[in-house]
Amino acid sequence: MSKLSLLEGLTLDQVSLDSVGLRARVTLSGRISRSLVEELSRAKKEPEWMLRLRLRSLELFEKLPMPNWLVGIEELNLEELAHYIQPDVQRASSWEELPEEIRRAYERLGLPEIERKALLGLAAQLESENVYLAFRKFLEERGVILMDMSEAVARYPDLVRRYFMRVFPPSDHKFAALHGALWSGGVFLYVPPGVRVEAPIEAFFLIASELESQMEHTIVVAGEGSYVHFIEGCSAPLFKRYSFHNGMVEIYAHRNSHVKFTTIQNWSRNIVNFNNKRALVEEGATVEWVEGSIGSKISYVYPSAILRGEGARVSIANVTIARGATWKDSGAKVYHLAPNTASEVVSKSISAGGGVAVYRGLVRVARGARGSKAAVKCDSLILDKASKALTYPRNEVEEEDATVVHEATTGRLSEEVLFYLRSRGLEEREARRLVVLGYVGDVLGRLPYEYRLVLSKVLELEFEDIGGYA
Amino acid sequence: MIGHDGLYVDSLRVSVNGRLVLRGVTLHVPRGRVVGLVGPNGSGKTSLAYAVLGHPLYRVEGGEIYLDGEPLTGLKTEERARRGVFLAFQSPPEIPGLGVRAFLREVAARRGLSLEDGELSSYLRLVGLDESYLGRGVHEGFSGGERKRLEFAQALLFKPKVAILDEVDSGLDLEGVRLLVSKTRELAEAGAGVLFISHNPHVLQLLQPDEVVVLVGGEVALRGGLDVLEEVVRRGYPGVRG
Amino acid sequence: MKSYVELPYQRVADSPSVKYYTAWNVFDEYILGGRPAREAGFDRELLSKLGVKPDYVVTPSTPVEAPVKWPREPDRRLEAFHFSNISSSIEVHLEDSDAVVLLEKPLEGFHASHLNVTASGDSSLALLLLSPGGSRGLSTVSLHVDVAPGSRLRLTYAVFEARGSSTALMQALSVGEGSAVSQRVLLSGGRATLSELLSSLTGAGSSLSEGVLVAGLEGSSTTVVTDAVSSAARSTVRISLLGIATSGYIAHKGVVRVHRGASGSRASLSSRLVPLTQRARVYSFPSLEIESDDAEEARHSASNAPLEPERIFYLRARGFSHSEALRALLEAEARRALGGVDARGELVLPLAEHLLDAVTAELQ
Repeated sequence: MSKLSLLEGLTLDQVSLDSVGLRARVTLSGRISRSLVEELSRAKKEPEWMLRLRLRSLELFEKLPMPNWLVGIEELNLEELAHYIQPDVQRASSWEELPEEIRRAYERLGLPEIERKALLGLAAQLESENVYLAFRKFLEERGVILMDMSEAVARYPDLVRRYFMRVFPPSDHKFAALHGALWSGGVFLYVPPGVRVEAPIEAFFLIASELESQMEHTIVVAGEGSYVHFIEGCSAPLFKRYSFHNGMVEIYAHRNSHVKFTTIQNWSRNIVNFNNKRALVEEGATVEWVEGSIGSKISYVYPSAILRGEGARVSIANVTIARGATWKDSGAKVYHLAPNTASEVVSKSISAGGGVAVYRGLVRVARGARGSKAAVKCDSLILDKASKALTYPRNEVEEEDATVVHEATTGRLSEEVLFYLRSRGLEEREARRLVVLGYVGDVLGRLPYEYRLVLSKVLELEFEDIGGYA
Repeated sequence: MIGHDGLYVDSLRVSVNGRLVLRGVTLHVPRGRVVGLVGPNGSGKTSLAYAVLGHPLYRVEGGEIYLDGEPLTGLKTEERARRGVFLAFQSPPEIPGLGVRAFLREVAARRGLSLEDGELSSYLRLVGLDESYLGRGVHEGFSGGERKRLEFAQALLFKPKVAILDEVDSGLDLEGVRLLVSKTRELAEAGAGVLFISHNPHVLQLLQPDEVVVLVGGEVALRGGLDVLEEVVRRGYPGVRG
Repeated sequence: MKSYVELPYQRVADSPSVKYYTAWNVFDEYILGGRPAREAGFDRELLSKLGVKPDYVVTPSTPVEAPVKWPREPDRRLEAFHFSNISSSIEVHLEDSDAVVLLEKPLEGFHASHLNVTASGDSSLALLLLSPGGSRGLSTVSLHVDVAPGSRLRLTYAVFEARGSSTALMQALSVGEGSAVSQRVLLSGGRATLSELLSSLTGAGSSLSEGVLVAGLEGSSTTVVTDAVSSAARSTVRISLLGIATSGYIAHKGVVRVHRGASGSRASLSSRLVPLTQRARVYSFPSLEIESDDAEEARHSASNAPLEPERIFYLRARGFSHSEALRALLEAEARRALGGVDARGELVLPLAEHLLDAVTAELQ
């Protein structure tokens, strides 16, 4: 069995960066055999090159060291992990199986029928709903490829091979290697040059089943001058049977293209979530990452971008909630490799009920990246005595003509602001709600309207039970 | 051409970031005279001021700039300043840590002037700033109006040959504007050629400059006396709708 | 103590792209194959320019006169090496008094020394490590500074290296209840200069104001660590660093840690690193670790950017030459980082001037 260590009652001395070297590393039990990987590849009818990539990844996984900065995980059982990779393992759940708090949340959120169905994993039904069918047709007519990753590997092998784990190779770190060996599911999205898909592709509703697995691999390729907005996940809480998620998203934004990738994650409390996300941004292209991390018990997600072409831009916006005994580790990594590139990072975290929110960031400006500008703002809001916020930003600048600025503030709800709102007739609870929503407003504003609505409601529900809130 | 005194700009063409912002501007600001330069936002007024001072980002594509008959092109900014060209910035930068007192003294020294605290305070008072400003950082935390005042005080302090005043009137109240107008006149009477840039024709009506030049889209659209001003007040800028 | 060679350089890597922000390999040369120094010296010209007469002079022949106090068991290679090789130590008691300590720089080899400092009343301590030109030695010095409740202490550290010299300065400062410490550190790095300034605010109402000025001249590698831990109510920490790299390397790391119970505490860390030429490298890693909602204010800001072109142009439009404008702006930034000038800050200004002169000279 995988074991999570206690996240309750952790003191600052125990979680401090200084004490990382003193912590025990995560132990692995069981193993992943070559034959399991081969079987997986065979069952998916994959070409030779994909099998080789999986096997090479497995070797790397065994060789690479376990990162020593992981908190909350004591032991990982590899066999248990591998169990859920099997294609036939049942995923769809019924209403009765859902944990009580999730059922209640759905009811409170007042979700439309269609979304409830999706949430219950009745994806197959969903895909045949008319409104989504029409959209699929629209995409097809414009040459947009949107399909399950395995299907894409089979139908467009050359295209997929050009991109699969190129910007995020398995050698990057141990979990990337694990992903390379066991990945399953995910989406391949290809937008031809010049095509602008104005309506967001809401993956959750269009291709829900493909995104259900625990090591899904998603690739978005935006051709020159194209535009696409991909949204994965949903604000409502989701129950997953598996407990360890290790997904990967790679974005390839070709010249002058614009890709917006939004992830909202509100998974149940039994999950450890790794999500490896990286974008390669070419000349004049723009990539926007928007992350809303509300659920799961432990998560490690750092959307990243390599600004390779002149004038490439990236913006990364995170909102992270660490409520209760949870460890939410998020951040952003940007590499400025070409002149006149620009990046903006906005990260807002809220920790309450003993939660720990961590920001880990890196801005690296290589020599020659003249005229580059980077601005990072990472704020943390701590709502009570038991919770913590840790901020670790790094700025490495090797170019004289570049400007990197960074600001971080960790605070609590301002007494003055609360008092002012109450003096205007608002109840303490309402006042807190307004302040918290205002705090994350910057990031919420980057979400499409319906998502913003649901997410705001979700946040309210989240914080209702906190002491002092009720 | 070479005989002109004060500031003489001849068919000046200037580009910024590859974009042409001045398309052949000619104007003359003789010593002792006040020339008003008006135009809508974006017409190139500040670009002209920056080009005269040799701002590194403003490329002279054609034409020439003369100070008392000597060409300025090719000279570094500080050389032009030391020769007597003064620019009161529209948006001067804050320089925390550099005290106003030390700054004013340093600048004066480069003009061959040595100023005591008493003199410095008196110039500040002239523009309505009390001597506590001497102890503050240059423009640090100054309101818009205070910045204009400090810029203008410098124009009076350094006795330039040519003073370009870029929108020093904005942010000033009525009293401040009246003071500005009378001091500008005095500056010209003392021998400086004054180029008074404003996008507010009403202030110029008070100032009564000797010539008015209207700049639109990087070109001189109109030139003349106060009648030109009245034209602009009545009908707006030529070639500009609304 | 475990053999120091087996210990890691640091507890954890600094970043995914650059493992260490400190030039540990240079220190390794002394750790693995260096010899204790015999000859040492100092920059006589500079000392006489400062017009100060040291109260204490520490050289390789100074014996161990005081017990070595340190709040933690060394668990890193350089630290353990230092504590295993201390050959000189002195005790400095300040009671409404001032002291200047001159630490001579070894010409070759290494010299490890330690200072125990206790301060009460209104006192000041200056530590000068002014390397003579040709030095290629390593000085490692640890300072244990204990500030009694209700006192005020001014600390001034100056480490000016020669091109080939190196230094590891480690400070463990503890500020008692109601005490105020004002610290100014001026560094001009050499081959490898590491300055670890660790401060603990353990007493309620204690305060620390730290201003650091670093010059990264050609070929130099300077790493400054400003760590502050606050566990006391109404404590205040203000750390401000200005690093000017002509063509050297400057890294500023530091964790501001606020424990539960530090209600009403305020902490701010500001890092300004200015690269002046294409070869300069400036890294910053300012961290915050906040436990609970007790802290009133906890913030940091970092800026790795050249001097603002608008400011340079403004000064040039007032007649300053390009290099005069640079100098004026660097001075302005230095004044902000080092904070206001105290009545008894006679050393800080001339030391800062000296640093800026060296920077300006290199730019010509």
